Amino acid sequence: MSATSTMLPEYVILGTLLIAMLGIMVSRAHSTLPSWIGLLGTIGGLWATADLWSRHLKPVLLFNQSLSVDNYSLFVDFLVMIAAGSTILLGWQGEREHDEFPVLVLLSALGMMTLGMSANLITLFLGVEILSLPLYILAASHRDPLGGEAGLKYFLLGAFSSGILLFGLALIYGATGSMTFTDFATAVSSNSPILAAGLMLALVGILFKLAIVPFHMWVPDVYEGSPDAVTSFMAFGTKVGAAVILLRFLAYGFYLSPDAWGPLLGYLALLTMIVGNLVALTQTNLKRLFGYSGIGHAGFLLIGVAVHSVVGARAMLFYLLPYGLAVIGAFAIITMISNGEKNVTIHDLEGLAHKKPWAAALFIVFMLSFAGIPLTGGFIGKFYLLQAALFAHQPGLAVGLVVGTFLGLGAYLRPLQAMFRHESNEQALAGWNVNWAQIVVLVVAVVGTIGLGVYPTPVVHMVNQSANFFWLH
Amino acid sequence: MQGVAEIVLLPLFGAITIGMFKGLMPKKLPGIWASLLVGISFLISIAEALKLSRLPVHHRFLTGAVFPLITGFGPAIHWRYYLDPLSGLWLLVITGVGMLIHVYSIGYMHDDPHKARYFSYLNFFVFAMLLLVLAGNLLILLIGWALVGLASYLLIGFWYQRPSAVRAAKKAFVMNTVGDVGILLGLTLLYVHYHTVSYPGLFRIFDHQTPSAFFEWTAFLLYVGAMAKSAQFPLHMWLVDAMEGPTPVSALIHAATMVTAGVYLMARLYPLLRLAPDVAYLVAAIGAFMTIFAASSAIFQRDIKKVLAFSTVSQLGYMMLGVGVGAFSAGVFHFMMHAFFKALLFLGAGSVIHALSGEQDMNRMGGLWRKMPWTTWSFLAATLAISGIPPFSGYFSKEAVLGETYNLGHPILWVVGAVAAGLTSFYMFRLFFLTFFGKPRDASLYEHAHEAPWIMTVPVVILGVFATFGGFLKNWVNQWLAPTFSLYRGAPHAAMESGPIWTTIFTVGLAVIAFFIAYALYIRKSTATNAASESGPGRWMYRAWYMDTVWTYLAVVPFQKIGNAVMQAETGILATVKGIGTVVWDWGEDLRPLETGYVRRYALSMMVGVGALLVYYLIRV
Amino acid sequence: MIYINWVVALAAILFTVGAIGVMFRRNPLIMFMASEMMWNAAALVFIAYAREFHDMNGQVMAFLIMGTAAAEVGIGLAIIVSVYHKRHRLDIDEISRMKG
Repeated sequence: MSATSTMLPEYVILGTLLIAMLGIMVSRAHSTLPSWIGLLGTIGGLWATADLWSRHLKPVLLFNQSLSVDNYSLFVDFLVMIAAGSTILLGWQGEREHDEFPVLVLLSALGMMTLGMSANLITLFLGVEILSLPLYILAASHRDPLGGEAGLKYFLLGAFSSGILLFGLALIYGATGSMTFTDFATAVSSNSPILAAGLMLALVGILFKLAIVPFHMWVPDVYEGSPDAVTSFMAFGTKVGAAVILLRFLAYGFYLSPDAWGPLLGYLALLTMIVGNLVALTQTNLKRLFGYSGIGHAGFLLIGVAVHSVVGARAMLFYLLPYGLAVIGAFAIITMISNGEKNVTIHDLEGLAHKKPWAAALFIVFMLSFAGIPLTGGFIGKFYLLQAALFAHQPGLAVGLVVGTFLGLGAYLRPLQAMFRHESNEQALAGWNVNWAQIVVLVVAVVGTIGLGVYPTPVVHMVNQSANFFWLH
Repeated sequence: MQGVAEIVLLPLFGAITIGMFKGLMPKKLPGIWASLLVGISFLISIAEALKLSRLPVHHRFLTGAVFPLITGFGPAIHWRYYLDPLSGLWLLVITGVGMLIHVYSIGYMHDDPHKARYFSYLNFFVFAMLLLVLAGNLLILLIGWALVGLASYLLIGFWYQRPSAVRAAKKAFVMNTVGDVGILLGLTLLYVHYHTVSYPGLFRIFDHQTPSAFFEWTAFLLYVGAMAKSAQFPLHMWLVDAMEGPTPVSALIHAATMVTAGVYLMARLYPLLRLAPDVAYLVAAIGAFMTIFAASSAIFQRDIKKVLAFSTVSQLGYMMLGVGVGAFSAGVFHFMMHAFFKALLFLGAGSVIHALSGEQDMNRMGGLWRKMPWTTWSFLAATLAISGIPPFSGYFSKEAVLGETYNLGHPILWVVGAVAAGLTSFYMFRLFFLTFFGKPRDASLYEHAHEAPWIMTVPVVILGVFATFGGFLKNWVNQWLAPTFSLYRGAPHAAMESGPIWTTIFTVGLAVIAFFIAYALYIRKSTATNAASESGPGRWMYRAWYMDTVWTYLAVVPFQKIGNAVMQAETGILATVKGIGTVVWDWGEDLRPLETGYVRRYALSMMVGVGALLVYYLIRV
Repeated sequence: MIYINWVVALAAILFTVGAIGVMFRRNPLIMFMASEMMWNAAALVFIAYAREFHDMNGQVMAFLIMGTAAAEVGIGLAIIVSVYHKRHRLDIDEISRMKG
């Protein structure tokens, strides 16, 4: 099997974004042509992923062991396609004036896909940068002056964290003499201080992208200041990219010394779950609220890594999907309310249940999925994480998960309460605007959320096959 | 399988069709359609119950897995159903009483502009409740449990124009979530320990176990769920506030079906209660406490629905008392009788409220028996039943619970329950006399009062028949439930027996005396509705022993404070970090101490995190 | 002969100086330069070890770091300029409006 055909999804995306650039050149300003190209490209990428998946290929190492194409990377491709496609759809109206919007989204998606395949330090670094660079531009693209500020903050802190990451990678390289993940474990005894320092710094770099406390400070500001569609992409796509590279990096490179990072990540997960959900309780701006709740969810995801077991890996991979679906669904509603203009606060939701009952009902579904109420995908995901924590004999993490869920529930209750409030202010739904693209996203999100809650078996099988990489050191 | 699926799915189908096509439906159709589907469900339930009764006694249950819900990571959990005499009884009550209440709602909600939405919620509720009862394992039960909570939340908040309704809905949601989490934790413990959560699987394992702390904890967590749903102390306050919903909702959800889910769960888990004797005793003790607590709180209420709400809490206490002491059949029998008479009481109250154009204050009622004869006499039957006057239905079931409590060696709990029975008789007759007898206290309301239309009176009268003669089903229920409680170890005294004759005389005597006191006070002397409610004990009881206030201070306020505190702590930590930086780098060219640069502070806090990680590593090695 | 440890120590000093620069300077341009310094410290470590191990991977990485840094400069300067256009300020503290 040649490299071309095993990396078909990546090539499809790469080709799409090049064609989309040509599309920008030939079409007049603010046309939907680039978005259409981007959308078709993600659908093509999904098709290519599904095709590769159905062939049951053996894992392949490409480019001198720097990329590993296996079910894991294909599952990541699948998630990233959903994130990218939904982002293009959500920005269909609001981001019309930025012709380059779909191109940048696809480029960032390519970085996430690279992270899914990455098997050595070079591709790790490149993946992180390809993911981040377009996002800096996207974050700064808001018409509002706050947008520039968000982009600047994200950029400065991102460059800072990349510096930390790079220095960590350099130390790991120095301690082990190799760039390939799988060589680290055997290269040198894990007690080497240089390796330990390198691991810590590299972890900080990745945890920054995943928004783990105390590396989370950028999240609320950047989420608030970015355009809605971009925020949903960051909340879903960036988390996917960071979580999967963290898992593969540790599972390939440091599986012999889980004590060096497992408990540490466990403590960070605990801290993140509690702090993220607690602070979410006090937010009134919806995007900030989702920022903090995303931090809390990053803590939940980290459980799956911290327990260092194949069950944990599966649980984490599974949880990404319901979380992401709830994110894109919730942001679809937010874009309907904000119409690309204003920052949506809880007060803007007032009277939604009364005036737009269907949108309100869907919003409830997504909130309940975030909160982990049964019959939504979020519940099944949390159940698996709980199971992973208990099977790994980490009751502390299980308790943290429950407490965090509880606090999160309180946070999600507030927007719901506002929706049912009757004495709504006049401007609450003034900018209400719906287009077909948002409806497509909503349908996908709600069908996925409920489907995962009622009949998760197909996705569970996918996740199980994806996590097989865990045994292939 | 087939019949069971249809019972559950028909109401769901109704909820979806009404929800989607309510714009296209003629105004009257949603109510008829919803009632029809529940009615069909009821007929299929009867057929299934008959099928069940033909099975051999030692194998009298239907179970099966439909498709996996959780699979692949470990032991699978399926969508499993389980129909045995116990769930069958619940099934019949839910669909039967549910259908009557649907029909009644057609009349009650006649003028409401949103009645399509109402019926869609109501059908959804029936679906969720059936799912809960027919679940074959604890996880499916939990799903039904949560959906029931959601339906109840929607229906309490149905009149979301009222702020109090929204607040009540929120309170119900929070307290029920506490319960959901309890069940989730309990079932997770069982799952991790025994790799199954299905009833037959677990119960077969329980048969070979001896009591231990593990079982106590598991049973307690599951009991927390039951506590929340069945309004047991300390998670009881939501039920009283839940009366903000339309009255038929109170009848269906907050009296006849949903709130008894906790009783169902505890009765269903009788093999677990054998292994957790302390929790079983706790169930009984809290149940007994609830009987007297709620009964005393009901005495000074002025709102007709509040009185009924407290009486529901009190009667739930009896059911839990029966289940807790091991008299499972008695508890379940009381559930069944309670479903009849309490649904009737609520529907009757609904007719009164309907007739008085929304008035709920008993202070403005009185003398209605002349205007509403059908409602009055049905209501009287239910009042006699709930007060435990023979030969009405409540007498048999309450005697069964109290008698068994005494027989099984809990004389103190028996005394509490018996005294509460006396109080019950007092506050129910107070309600009855104040509403239907005496002089009309508000002439204009009285003038416009009228008997409810036939579509509302017919369900009330049917329930009246059951409330009057239901007690004679006692032997049938005993035989019907016996196979369930003999299948596994843990329910040696499940069957109903009466206590010594003097206990019966004592309880009934108290009830009769209470009746005469009420008669003397409210008919002879026409005491005012709010008499003595301003005295110290009166106010204490009127405010339900101030438990709501205590709750607010113990649970709600601290959480808000913690959230704010963490927020401030985060700012504070940032400021501290910045402060340290300022001290260290004071010579820096442009470091004005009062200005705070957010980005730089973020970078600083990251570096502090890096430092902490490195320190952590150094300490470990 | 230069010992590898000396080079790594130099890189560590560069890294620290860069990190401190990001943390305590207020001009986004200077902050950005400081973080570039951190990147270059890492590149230096890569090159030093590559020479030590006679391994080309480290050298490749150094080139990639340079290339990525160039892309980062392009984007970063564009963002800084656009913010300056909107606010006519170049003080990261004064620019900051979002908090909470």
